[in-house]
Amino acid sequence: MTLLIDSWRDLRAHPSRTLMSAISLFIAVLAIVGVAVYGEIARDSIVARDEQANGRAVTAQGFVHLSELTVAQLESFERALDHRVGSSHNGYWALEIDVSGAIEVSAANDPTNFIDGTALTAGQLRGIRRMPLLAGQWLDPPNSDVYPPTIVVNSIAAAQVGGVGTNLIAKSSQGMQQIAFRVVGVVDDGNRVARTYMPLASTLHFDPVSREGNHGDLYVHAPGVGLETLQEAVSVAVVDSGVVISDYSGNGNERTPTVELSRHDNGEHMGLGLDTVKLGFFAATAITLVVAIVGMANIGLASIRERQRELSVRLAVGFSRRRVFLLILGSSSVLGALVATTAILVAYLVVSGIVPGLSVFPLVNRPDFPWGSAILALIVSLSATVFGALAPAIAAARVEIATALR
Amino acid sequence: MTATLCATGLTHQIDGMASPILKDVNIVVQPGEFISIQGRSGSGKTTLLSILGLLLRPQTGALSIGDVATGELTDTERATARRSHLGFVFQNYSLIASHSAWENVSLPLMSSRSVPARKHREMAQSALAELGLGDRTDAAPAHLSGGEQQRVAIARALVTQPKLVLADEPTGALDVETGEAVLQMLVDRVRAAQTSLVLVTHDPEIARRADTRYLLHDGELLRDTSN
Repeated sequence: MTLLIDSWRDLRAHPSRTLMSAISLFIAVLAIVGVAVYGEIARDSIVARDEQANGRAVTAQGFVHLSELTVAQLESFERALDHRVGSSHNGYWALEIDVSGAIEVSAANDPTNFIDGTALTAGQLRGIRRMPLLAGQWLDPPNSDVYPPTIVVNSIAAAQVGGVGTNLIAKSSQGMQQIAFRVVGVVDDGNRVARTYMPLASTLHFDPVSREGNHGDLYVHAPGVGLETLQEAVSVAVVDSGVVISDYSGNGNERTPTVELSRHDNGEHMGLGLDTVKLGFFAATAITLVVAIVGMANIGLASIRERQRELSVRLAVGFSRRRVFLLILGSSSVLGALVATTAILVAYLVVSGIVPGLSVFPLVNRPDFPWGSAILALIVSLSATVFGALAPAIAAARVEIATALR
Repeated sequence: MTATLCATGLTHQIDGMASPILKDVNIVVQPGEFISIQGRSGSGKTTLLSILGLLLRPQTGALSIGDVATGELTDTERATARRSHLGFVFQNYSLIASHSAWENVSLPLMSSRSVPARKHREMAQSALAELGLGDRTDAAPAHLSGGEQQRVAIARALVTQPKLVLADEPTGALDVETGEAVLQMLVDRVRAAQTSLVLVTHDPEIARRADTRYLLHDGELLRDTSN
């Protein structure tokens, strides 16, 4: 207890040294927590971007060609996949048929203002890919015979032709009759060009021409479920549905009993890259920390040289050399604990208050405060103060005692 | 009765000096005795006081504090002996500038396990009050006069109720009038507490007030019996 009191007095006794050491430590602790938070956000952001572009891990993809597809066939296919993928594995499936260039979507009042990037979708595309809703809702539940059918646009398209509530006109370059669509949602799909998402069922219902060649991609994802299981689920679903699937890359006449799936997300390749990035951050932090420790040791040694007489007086009045050693170490530790606690508090306020407002990571949710890293920072800070104070403490304990009387 | 301090045959040579600064010094301090050691600058007074105060080990000779022979004591045991039996008054006060008066006085108590921390302030304030500084206990040294600072230093030397106080030119940094008052206060306090006092000075007037007087000359400690 007396050591603690004395340590506190010692800190108070040398305000400039205490301040300089505190600043060094403060920066180091903030750096540790900052790196942890930034690393977490950066990782989440990279993962989110990949999930937006390629699907959540594990997402499997296969090319499909659905010849002469009817609404009934699609519904049968949907039911089978809902059962085999959705119910059985708590998973998601989505059919995405890219009709860019084949269908143009324009503003109802301005045919010259059109978008040629369009996908026909079935299933739960947002369950596969991370596509945050910016406004309105997604296409589900699809209701193919309601007119006008719904359409979802990305943010670029919304800026071009209008957002939720806007009426759009779609027409096919192959003579598809004009169909009106009502925008029900705006999503962030990661695309830098305008794109719209139409329900496949509605286009089949209102434009039979679109039955002709529906080739696209089938995506399947179930949390914690591997590729082989997904492949099996899809194979069974195809058989259950009775839908004729042709290999997209084949001649169109070849019947295949299933869809050959392959891994589509990059989850398995990202771990090493993210670890490397994180390692780089921590290396930078470690350097900061070493600089802080060296700085503290330097400040401490200079201080001991100035305090020779005071320390010798302490020794003269009965302090043991061990006690003087512990005094210097103790004051540094008290400083380390106080500074680390303050830095962690500041970091917490920054993470809670400022980080969520950053627009550079739109896909990332508000990050949790990295308590693990904060505790690590506290331990590291205390260790740093002990290491930084070791040389000064040894020097203090070796002060020549007879100096007191000179 | 056991002597408070008994030193025999103390010899000490400082590196680089041709002859020893102390040669076969013998001194006995009885309980409650006031001893002065007079000598010119550089005569070895401070070195002798450092040895008597267990701050420096003599190259030869024996030193006992009470019943304790100090020759074989470790550094830690010597620190304990200093804390338990000795008090120091330094020429330039040697107060810690950032500590208040009572915190300076409590310094010897800080390293003592026998006195609980909660009593430090009370004991320090009491020691200061006895020296007429009861209303200056929270003042920093910078806000005290030279005489007041030396009184704080005396309170620090006496707070542990030592057997022996070693004072090195305690009035050296004070004007004559203040020095006289401070010295009187020191002598009064040690006499009241039956504490022995060894005072080093170059001032014959101050030395003359001691019960026993010594002269340190050419490294030898001589009894001064002159009037």
